[in-house]
Amino acid sequence: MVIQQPSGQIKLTNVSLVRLRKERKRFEVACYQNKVQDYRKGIEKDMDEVLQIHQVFMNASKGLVASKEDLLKCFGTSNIDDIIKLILQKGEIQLSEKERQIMLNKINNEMLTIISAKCINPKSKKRYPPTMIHKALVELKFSPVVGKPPKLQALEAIKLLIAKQIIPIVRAKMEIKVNILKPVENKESLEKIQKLIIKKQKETEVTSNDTPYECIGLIDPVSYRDLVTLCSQIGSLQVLDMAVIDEGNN
Amino acid sequence: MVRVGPDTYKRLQNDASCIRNICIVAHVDHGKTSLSDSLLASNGIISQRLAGKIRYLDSRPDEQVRGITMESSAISLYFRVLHKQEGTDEPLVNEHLINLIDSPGHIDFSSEVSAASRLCDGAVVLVDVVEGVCSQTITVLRQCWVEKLKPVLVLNKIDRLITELQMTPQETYIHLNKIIEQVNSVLGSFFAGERQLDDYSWREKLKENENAEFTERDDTDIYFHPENNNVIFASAVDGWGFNIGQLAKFYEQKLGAKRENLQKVLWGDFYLDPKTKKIINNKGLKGRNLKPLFTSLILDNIWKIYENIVITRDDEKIGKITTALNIKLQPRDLRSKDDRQLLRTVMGQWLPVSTAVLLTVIEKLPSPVESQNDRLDTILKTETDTENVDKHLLESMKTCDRNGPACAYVSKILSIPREELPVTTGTMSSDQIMERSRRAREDALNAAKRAEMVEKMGKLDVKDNNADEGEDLYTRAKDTAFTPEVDEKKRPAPKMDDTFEIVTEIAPAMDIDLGFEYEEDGDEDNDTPALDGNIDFVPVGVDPNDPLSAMFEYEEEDPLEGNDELAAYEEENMEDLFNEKDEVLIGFSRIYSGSLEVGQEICVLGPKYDPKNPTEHIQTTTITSLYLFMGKELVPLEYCPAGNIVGIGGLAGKVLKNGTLVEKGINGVNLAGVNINSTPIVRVAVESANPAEMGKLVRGLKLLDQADPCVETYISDTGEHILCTAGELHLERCLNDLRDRFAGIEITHSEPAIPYRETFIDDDDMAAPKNPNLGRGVSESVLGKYKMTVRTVPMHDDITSFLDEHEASIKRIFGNASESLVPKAIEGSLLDRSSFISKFKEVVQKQENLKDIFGDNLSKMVAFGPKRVGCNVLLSENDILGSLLQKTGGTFEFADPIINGFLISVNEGPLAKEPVQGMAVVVEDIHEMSEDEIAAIEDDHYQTEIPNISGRFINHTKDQIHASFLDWSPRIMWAMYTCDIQTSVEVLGKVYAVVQQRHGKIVSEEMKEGTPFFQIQAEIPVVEAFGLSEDIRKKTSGAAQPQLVFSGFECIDIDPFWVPTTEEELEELGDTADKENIARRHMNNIRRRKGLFVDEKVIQNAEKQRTLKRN
Repeated sequence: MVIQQPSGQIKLTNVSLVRLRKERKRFEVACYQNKVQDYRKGIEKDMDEVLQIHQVFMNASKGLVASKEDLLKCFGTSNIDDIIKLILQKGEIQLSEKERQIMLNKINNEMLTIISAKCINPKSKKRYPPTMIHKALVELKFSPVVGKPPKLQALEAIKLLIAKQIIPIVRAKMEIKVNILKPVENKESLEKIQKLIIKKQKETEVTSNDTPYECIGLIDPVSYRDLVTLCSQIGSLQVLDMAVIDEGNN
Repeated sequence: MVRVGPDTYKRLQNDASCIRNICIVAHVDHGKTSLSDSLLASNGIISQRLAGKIRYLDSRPDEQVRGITMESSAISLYFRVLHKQEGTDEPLVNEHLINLIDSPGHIDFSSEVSAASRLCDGAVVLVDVVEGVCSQTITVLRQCWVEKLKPVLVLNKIDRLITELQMTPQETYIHLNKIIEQVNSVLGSFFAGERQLDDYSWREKLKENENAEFTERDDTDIYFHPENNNVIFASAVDGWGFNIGQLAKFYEQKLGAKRENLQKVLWGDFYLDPKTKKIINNKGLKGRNLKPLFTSLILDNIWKIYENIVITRDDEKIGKITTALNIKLQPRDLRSKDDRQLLRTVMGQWLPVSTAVLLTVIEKLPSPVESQNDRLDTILKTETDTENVDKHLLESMKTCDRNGPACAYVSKILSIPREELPVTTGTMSSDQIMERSRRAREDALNAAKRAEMVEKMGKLDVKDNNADEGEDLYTRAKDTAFTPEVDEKKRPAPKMDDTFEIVTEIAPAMDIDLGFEYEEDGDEDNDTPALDGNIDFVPVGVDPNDPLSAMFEYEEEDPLEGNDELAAYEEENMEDLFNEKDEVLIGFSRIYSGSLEVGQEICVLGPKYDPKNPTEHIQTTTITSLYLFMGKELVPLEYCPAGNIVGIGGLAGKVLKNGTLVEKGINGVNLAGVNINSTPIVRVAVESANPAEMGKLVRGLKLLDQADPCVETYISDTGEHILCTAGELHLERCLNDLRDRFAGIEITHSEPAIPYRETFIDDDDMAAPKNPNLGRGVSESVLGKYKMTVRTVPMHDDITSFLDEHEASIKRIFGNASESLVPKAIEGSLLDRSSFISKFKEVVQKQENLKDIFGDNLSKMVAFGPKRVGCNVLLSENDILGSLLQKTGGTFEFADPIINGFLISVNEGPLAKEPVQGMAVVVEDIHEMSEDEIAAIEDDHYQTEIPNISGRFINHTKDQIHASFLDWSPRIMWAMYTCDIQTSVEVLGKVYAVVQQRHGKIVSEEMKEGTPFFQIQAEIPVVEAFGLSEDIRKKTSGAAQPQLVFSGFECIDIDPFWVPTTEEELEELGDTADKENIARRHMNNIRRRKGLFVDEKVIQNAEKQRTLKRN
């Protein structure tokens, strides 16, 4: 029977656990809150700032320290330092409040920047500032989630914004240049391509196979993928401008 | 009730010599609006009792709440002087129409003052005797000086010297003397400055021409001298005021001295010898301690009144005084507990402030006829070339000829809610007008009351026992609002039940004044229309009525002036332009010559109009309506001749901020090139709170831009709507305006996003290059079966600025854009292809290490970036990517993706995704790797075949360029303002402190010729400039005024990634570098804003976190 003496107890507060399951065993490391993320990103290099205590537990809340055999069996080494580093890197963590807040903020900001860069106000041909888009998204009850990449969420948000039109918004057009070497031969694809180009700024006449077809125009970014596949075999596609925005001063 | 018929009114407008256009100017809170209240009361527009309290001309609710004026407003007053005529019993009646403009005093609204001063011929300058000459006083005096306005000085708030500072009359006399001296010294400095300039130009002339003569100018008439009657001593709040001439008249009888003589001695060191009863000067004093006449005769008496009424009330003495002054008090007045009110009644009858001011104005300030003659040169000063202007027009402008060709200057566009506009349906009854004026008055009163209530509520919170008192005050305020005793005289009690009667029954009947006139006028030189002793304001007379009543009459507009046709016109026109809006734009303008008529077609000259090119910047429009300004009311007119200030409808969309109106077919003169003192410097981004209402905001901003000459709005590249205002207070007003009037929606404002640039430099203490074999800035990488070598080289400022300047040329020479996209205006300044190339070559040659890179004839150049124009260049060896100049394609298969990668890489730099500037990228080599090379790659899973390799090349190139960029010492560049600060010597140090505190640096500092001012030029980062103007003004108490102009980008001279490494650095700064790295701070701020990765710990110290979850 074990008698626990108060004098031998170490009380840990502000604990954030990092768990790693290996060979059906659970290993835990007790860390400080808001620190594991920084460690993983490499911002925090001081291990003592991350770890509450230099030990690997089986169950940290009960104070159950992992035995050497278990460690050796599961990790192939008994070097605690290496094992802790491994657990910190690979283990599952629970984001603490501040970290979550910062992550969310970051994703939100990045998403807004992407949307702002990709969309314009069709009336003024100008971009919307991120704050404006944020307001519109709040209105639409669109809120970002931590797990998804920001770019994906941005595209979703753009779809929603364009569908609901809370603010007049469209995706900015892409400016592209299409080159098709033998236009007459590939008439079918050419027609499809011509359909996708919304506004042609410069176009050569299709006369014979000798003169290549060249066209500079605007397209909807959505149709870019199709255009790439269409052009890949028969000619070249060049992006002149990812998002056409009127940069004038009025 | 006397009312001036429409005929009288028209006659007055037609006779330019009877018109005075004046503005009231002063430092903030020196009592401008209170003074105008008194003047309004004299015309019966508001009750005497309320004058000085309701601030009638502060018609905006926020003006009432804050107690400061924010917009200048105009009102026309009618004033009549009666003169006795020799030989007849009929008095000579001199009537005057006074167009009064009340201007704001706060520095943020100085543009309003400039606009007002343009329209006027004279100015009433107020000085608070307690505060003395303040910064804005000097500014307005300078404005008067520059615009050649004739000033009249009013020393206001003398009552505060008595009640608050408790000065003795003798001290007061000395104090007043000092203030007049201060004002004169300000004027003197202007004069000295001008004289210096004259002197300078004379010397210049002397060099060329020996015979040039220096003409000494006389400065005596520019100063204020009480004995010249151009100084008024007043207390607007208590409703009294006088000038020396008036008192001389008053004492003429009592002392039995000649009025002219008295006038000379009433101010200055003159004393009354008690023994000989003679007036003596300093010499005759012989050591006796006598009081100057001004003290003993004037101030002592005023003090006595104050003492007996306000300080310690003594009814017996009050009785004595009133009988001595022949003031009639009603028993009710005496019973009233309100001492101040009694004081007002007494003083208002004895020395009414309105008479003093209006008489002085009429006597001392020029009529449009005189002033236009004098001021025409000043007005036209900006116009260097008057030859092309119609001579006839100039002539009639000089003489203010109402039959000449029409010419008017629109100083600003007012936006007026449609419902406040008079209904121009032609058959408006007088009842309606009265109704409206009554409502306006009530509105103002209510607003004042509300403001008072708010104040009181504040007090209530502090002390509960005050509640009763507050209640009492409130009821009293309520009482006054509906008290019918508008006049202080005995009259048949007004009918309580009829509100119209109450408010309009103000002026006493005409017959009374006629009866009392010419009682005791000795001298009979009646021909001069000025205040000449013939005017009867001596209350010693037998007449039981207030003598003043003779001089004022209530002015009422002709209600039948509206015109059916006009109404239709307006309706149609307005509908057309501002379909859904309920704001109407009215031009605030002064007619210099000719006459304007409703329905007249007129040419509008824009501010850029030049008589040399009479076809440009000119538009025609039709005047849809004319209005007379009566505070916030507008009274429709049909016709208005020269010399008047009038509101013109139908200019919407034609005149944006200011402009000139000229009769059709005449070569006009551009009056609109006015120097506006303050340019907008406070920038904010505005947004509607509800994103769906953005359209309303855009329209509101457009309206605001038109209505306020000092506002600028534009949309930034990031899509933010930027609003520039003159100051923080001005901003607040603009936001209020947007919220309540122009847009009508909730809006938010924030600091605008500030642009940055990224660049890199060749720095001595850079870390060793990552790959020592290749050298600095070179990176190698592999993609698929290709190996690419890229080198980056920093370019000098000369090159970047050259590329920056000639952006438009580059666009035209190399761009895909068709010619038509280039604005016509700059076409001339563009370089053609060959000259651009040669010039660019020249610039490139200057930088040694670039010579080879660019190759002969710049043949290696491939593209500019980031937008195919810009300050970065892509080059390639051996024509890998082709050449821009030779227009050859690249030899490499994936040249286009690489160019695209370059464009993206310079558009989004590695530091914070801001545009890069000053980078030359050289693609040195791309080749397919040999078997050996591929084998040498350590990665086991290396793929040589990659699907969609062209897309991968874009990203790959970008990353590689960024990596090579970071091999140098990177820098963040921040946007800079050049900041011009004009400041006086005393506050020079404070200006320096503020500039330094905001990371600015002083570029130059020089004395301005002929002024006591310093001109400081400084550079301040845009980020730090938010709130700068307010800060400088506060710290220097308004003596310095910054003006900001965007000047470009400048390096923050520190590597954002720098950390202390050497031993000394570590010793000095510690390993965490306690001293903040500014560049890093900015970089991280941008990155955080954009949601990029930020190299900062969430929590600095793990141990120091709060243990508890909440709070």
